[in-house]
Amino acid sequence: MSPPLPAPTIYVVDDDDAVRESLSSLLRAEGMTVRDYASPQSFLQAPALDAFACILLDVRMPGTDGLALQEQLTRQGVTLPIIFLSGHGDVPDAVRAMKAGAIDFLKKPFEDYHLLGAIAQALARVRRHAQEKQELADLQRRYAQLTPRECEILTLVTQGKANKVIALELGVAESTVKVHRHNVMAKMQLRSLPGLTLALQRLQGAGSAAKPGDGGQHPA
Amino acid sequence: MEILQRELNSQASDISELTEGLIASRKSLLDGMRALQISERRWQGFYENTAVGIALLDTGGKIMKANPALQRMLGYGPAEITGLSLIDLTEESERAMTRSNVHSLLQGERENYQLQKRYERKDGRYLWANVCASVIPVVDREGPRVAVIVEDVSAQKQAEDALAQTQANLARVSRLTTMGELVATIAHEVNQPLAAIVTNGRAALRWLEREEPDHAEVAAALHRVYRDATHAGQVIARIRGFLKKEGLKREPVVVPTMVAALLQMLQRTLSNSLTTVEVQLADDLPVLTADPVQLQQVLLNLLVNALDAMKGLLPQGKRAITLAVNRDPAGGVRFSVRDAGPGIPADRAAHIFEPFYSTKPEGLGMGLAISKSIVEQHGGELKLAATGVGGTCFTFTIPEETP
Repeated sequence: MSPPLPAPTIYVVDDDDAVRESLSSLLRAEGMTVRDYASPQSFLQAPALDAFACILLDVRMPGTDGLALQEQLTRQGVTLPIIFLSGHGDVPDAVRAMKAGAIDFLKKPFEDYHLLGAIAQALARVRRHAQEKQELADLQRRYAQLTPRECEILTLVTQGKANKVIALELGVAESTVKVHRHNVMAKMQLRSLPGLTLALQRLQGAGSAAKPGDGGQHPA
Repeated sequence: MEILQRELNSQASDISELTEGLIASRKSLLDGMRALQISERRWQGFYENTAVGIALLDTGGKIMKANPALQRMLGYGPAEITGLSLIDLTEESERAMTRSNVHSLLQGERENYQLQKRYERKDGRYLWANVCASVIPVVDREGPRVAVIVEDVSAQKQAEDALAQTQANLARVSRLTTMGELVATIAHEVNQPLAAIVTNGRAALRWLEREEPDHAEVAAALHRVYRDATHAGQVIARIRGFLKKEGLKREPVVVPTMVAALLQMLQRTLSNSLTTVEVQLADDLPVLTADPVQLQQVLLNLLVNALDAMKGLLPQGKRAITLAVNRDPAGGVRFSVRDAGPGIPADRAAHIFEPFYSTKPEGLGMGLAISKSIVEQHGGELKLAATGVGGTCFTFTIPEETP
């Protein structure tokens, strides 16, 4: 279903050269692209980040530590998943990291399959997000093809109104409503009323469709 | 006649001069007496109201007079205190010394002395005092007296004790903190290369397991394993050097002298924890060639452990440690330290010599590990000889000549 994905990029931020080198080798052996940084500062100065990627972050580093970097990335709108690596394994650090949305918190030394498992989980999340984004974009594109009248019909249909009622409200023949309704389903590439309702909810959630009952305005 | 008249006149004027003189001297005598009375009342007021204790002793050390301040300090009423011996009121261990001090005053060997000592109050508590005693020589036919001035310094002593205790606690805390930081540093410094070694090892395997094994990558990863393992080894060697600081010294060690010096050092700790140490030294102990400070360190560790084992677990009076030192049949000396504590549970006894293992809540777990390594460096052996309900006994041997 999804197009073949490019090799994922793993960003490694750790001040210890030996740890960075070993991680780089392990991940490259698994066919991943590795970019490593010796400090949070140098990572922040990195050029645009790849979309299909995740970040391995050491907790304790001189200057800005890993947890502070996590906060900063969140503020900057970077949504790439983060896996923490800790030499100490302090519980409060781990709690803080996980609460802020980290995928995992691994204590050094860790087993390679734990790390690779966490990376797989992180990349799955990236892919899921990308897929959801793609689906929403498709939905928005289809919705944009509807005529103003079809938008009206769509709203009224998802409110559970029967064709007869809609015909009465709009002052048209019931057979006309039936035709519009068929066209809406075709354009939105949907087959059922529940599917249509769900699609409208997602569009409204993303702010790209009229709220039910406000007259069925076509998006500007 | 004229001559007679002149003579009479002259006598009259002499008498009047004499009378005037008499009147004047009587007046000055009265003035003097009044001044003396005022002075005496002042002295009496000072004696009654001063905060320092004042006592006048007879030649036998008995109190002839004691002011209210001294009565309060010692807890006796005015009628009770007269006739008591101030020497008997002195704390037991200082009585003989006090007697000889008073004797030296009365013999004219010195005019006064000052010292700090303890008195036993009527209620059994102790009074720490600065004492100044001086001799008052014979006046008229009354024999010489000893005047004693006593200043209550109990509060000051308590403050000093509290300060010493605080300092001891502080030293202990800072030692623990330093050790704790050291341990954290060791853990981190060794952990980083260790983590890299584990990951490099796995990486090498994965490069090998690929469809087309990449030997260059495998070699590079293994090279890093070698490098990081060497680095970790160096960290450990450095820490070992730090803990050891320097090698063993070899000096003649006279065991009884060494033991006495150690117990002297521990005296305060022992008396504070109401613990007695029974020392059993054999007569035929050889002089050792060893490091006296390190040996004291071992004994100190064992004694402190014994103290801690009995802390809070036994009623007063049963806290006893036996330190026995005998000639070892194999040559050298065998030390044994026995406490009357509750013993070490069997599951823990197996681990007590391991570094960082402790049965005490605030223990670091280094005492026995370090002691064992010191004894072994001397060519001896430290072991747990017995443990159970009756107490715990550690023994160690030190050969006559350290290898």
